[in-house]
Amino acid sequence: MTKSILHKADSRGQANHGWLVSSHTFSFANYYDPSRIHFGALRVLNDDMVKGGMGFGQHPHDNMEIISIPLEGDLEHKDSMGNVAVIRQGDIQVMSAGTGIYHSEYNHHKDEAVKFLQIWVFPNKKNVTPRYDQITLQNKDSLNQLQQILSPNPEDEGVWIHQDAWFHLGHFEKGKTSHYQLKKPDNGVYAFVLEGDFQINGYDLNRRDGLGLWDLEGFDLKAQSENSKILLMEVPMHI
Amino acid sequence: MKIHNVLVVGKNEAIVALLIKLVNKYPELFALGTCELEEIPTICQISPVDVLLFSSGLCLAEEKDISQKVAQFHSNVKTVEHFGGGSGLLRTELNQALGLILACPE
Repeated sequence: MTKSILHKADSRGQANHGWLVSSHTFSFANYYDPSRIHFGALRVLNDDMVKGGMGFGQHPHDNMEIISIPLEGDLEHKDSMGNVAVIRQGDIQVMSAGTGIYHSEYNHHKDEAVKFLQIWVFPNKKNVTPRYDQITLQNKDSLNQLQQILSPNPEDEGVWIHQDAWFHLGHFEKGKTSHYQLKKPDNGVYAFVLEGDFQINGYDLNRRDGLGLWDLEGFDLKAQSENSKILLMEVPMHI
Repeated sequence: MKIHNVLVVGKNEAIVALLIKLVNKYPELFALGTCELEEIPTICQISPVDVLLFSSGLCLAEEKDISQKVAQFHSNVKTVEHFGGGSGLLRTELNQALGLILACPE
């Protein structure tokens, strides 16, 4: 029987540091809720806004697969492997922190905010060699269908990570539907509404709501408003 | 207030140093750390250990060996496997290991 957990947008942990406003779906930094630690291998889903000219100074990470998805504005990235890049709306960035990596992330612009999702997935292998990658998505592939943006396979569509995880993005017109079939039976899917409204498995979801589903083979989703956007994150439920 | 002693062990010196600094921001905690596994018995002789915090670079066999070494000196040591290499997950990991809710550091 399908199991589910609903996280309404306004139930997320809030952090306001002035230059950084963040909504945490799962416990992070000063936000702690023992009932909201992770969804399977999905450990962090932060919905961040960084003011113009501001950002995260150099800091380390290890043993985590870190995915950044800009939603508005441009994010500037520098890391200890020598990567310097600007990621924009429509790009996906991935870092395997492995044995350790230092990086900084700044808003590329001085006068406008950057909004982005930062997603951390537990790796299936510890202490891997750190790596960085970014790609630009072809938006034409995502209208009224789900577009794969991440997988475990370097040869597959999108970026890849050290975990049996698949992410898909979809941009739907009102009334359009799609079916998602899970890749692995022990996985679950965390659906996060980026814009608009969706109906999934009897749940009405609004902007920034999250719904976790597991013990199922697949599900249908339906856009309930125009210009609705959703991110589906399929991850192992056992870590 | 009971002070919980945290021993941070990992192979990335900068990350171990950062974790010690972050743990020591909590008034309820006191952290020591090392990247040299042979130093662990000496540290255990001079300091109590309530929590063993594993940072990056250690294989499973090394983690098991470290746990056994610490257990020779101290009992009921809680083990925390730290992920992420910084502040984001640390408080949650420590809260869960200690069964506490640590006050947010300044």
